[in-house]
Amino acid sequence: MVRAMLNVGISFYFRHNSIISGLFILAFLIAMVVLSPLTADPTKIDLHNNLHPPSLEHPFGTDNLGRDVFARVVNAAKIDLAISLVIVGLSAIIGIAIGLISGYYGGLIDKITICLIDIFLALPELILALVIVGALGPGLFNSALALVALGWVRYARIVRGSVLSVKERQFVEVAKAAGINDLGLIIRHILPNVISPVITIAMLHLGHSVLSLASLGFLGLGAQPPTPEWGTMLNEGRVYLREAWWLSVFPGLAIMLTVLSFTLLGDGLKDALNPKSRRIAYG
Amino acid sequence: MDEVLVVKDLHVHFVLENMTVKAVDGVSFHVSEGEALALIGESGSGKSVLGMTILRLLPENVRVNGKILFNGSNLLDLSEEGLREIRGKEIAWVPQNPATSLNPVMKVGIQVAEPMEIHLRIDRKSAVQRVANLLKFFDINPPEKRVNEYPHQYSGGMKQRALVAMGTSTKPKLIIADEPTKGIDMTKKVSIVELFRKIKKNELSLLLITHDLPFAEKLADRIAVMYCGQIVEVCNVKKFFKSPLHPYSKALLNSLPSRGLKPIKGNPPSMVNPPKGCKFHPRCEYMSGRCLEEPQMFEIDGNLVRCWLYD
Repeated sequence: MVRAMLNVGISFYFRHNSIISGLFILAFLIAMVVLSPLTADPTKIDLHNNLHPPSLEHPFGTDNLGRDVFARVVNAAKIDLAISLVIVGLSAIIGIAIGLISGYYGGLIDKITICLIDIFLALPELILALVIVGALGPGLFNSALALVALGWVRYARIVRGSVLSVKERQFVEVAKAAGINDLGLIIRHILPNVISPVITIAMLHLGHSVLSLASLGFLGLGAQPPTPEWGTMLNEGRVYLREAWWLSVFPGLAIMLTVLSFTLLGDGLKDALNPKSRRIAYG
Repeated sequence: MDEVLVVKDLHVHFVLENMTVKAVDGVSFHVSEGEALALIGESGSGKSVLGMTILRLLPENVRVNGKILFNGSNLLDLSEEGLREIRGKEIAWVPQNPATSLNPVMKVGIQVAEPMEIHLRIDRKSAVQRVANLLKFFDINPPEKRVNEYPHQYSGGMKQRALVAMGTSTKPKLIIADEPTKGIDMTKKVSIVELFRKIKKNELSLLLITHDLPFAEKLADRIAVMYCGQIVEVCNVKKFFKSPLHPYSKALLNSLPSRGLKPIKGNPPSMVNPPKGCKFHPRCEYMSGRCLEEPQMFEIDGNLVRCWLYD
């Protein structure tokens, strides 16, 4: 009995191994966020105890100002994950709306959208984000704004493409013949049919925005000290790389794990949501 | 009898880059209250386009001329909003491929309830409740369970019946049914005939678009024969199946398996460059020199025929 359950569990793991691994890391990250109030104060300066290597009292060591690196990494998880979620959420809403409108109505609106999308895709995202944050001034809010301004493109592109094929399908005609208005048609009939690739993209985008946010932080344009943020911490640790490796390695690991978790989830969901690539369940 | 739908000199042309496809070329007919008119003809004769033109469901590269009068008002002059009031409420459309006509990610009950939700202004819950009653009426059992199922859980015939249920749910005055027997086997066809007979009792007019002649014979009051975008004959159903007027109708009936399975010589003409004069003349066994002139409609005992033989 136990053995049979174990077998089911193992086969489920091998079928959806990337989703399970991704969820596992994500659960770990969420636990970090939830438990973050229990850590030491991440901004408390203690100059007598600066640059201590990892010990029982400070598991990740202390930084140049004597702040607990463990507390900073854990509290940064809250900021990085929350801001990335907001970036992805807003980009997705804006991108889906633009994609639906441009794909459904076509014509001039569509031409303008396509033109915009092509321009955005032709330029490297991070450089463009640098320009925008540079113009608006550094800060967490402005970097999030810049990443939303660039993030909607991927959603708009994929949604527009799907809408073009879905709107030609006969059930759309049937709904029109029933007297539905454009808004109802788009929201009730077209949107549910184009949403599944968006879920995959959103997952990959989450990992991507954690990385972009950290990059901006590292370049000094994102979160400003003393706010704990992974990229900013990496930047602060850079100077002490020879003497105190723990300043850069732990935030770096955190970034890596986060991106890995979302990438695994995105990949796994892509396979699970696409019936063509779904592996045979009853072998 | 009052005329519910009057189509007058309707032209539907698809404008492509370097040619114009004349899918409907000067069609006039009417459907009276409580009457079933069957529009028959070969594939590609413009039947479905005609059906879709009535509800203006055609793509944008189409040019429509003429008049479609529904209860006296011209549907071609209506605004998009005005049209929405007609679609699904006054005129229902039953599409030709039941397999692709239901949204795969939407529960059938919610989908069938849509016209009621839009036009009768009732909330979704009571609309779905009414759908359950409708499904029961159309033999989809058990209805309470079936309303919560998705289209892939329905068989082809059930989807067809669900779509008819959707069309009749708002008690429209006219139903346009596009090939309701397409892809349905002989035994199930009988039940589709029964189905339409059932709904015809409610003082409802039916425009049946089909190339299934036996089906049309069982259901229709009058037959309109379409050939290459034109109506060549409008005839009472009994008279039509006994002695049709137009040479094309005769040939069409003779191509039925039960009447000798004689195919019509040649191919249907192109709609881009149709033959001059009577469009059927290259394939017609009664052809004479006069057929190069366009024949007009002649009236013979209340039936109409577009052929010089009746001059």
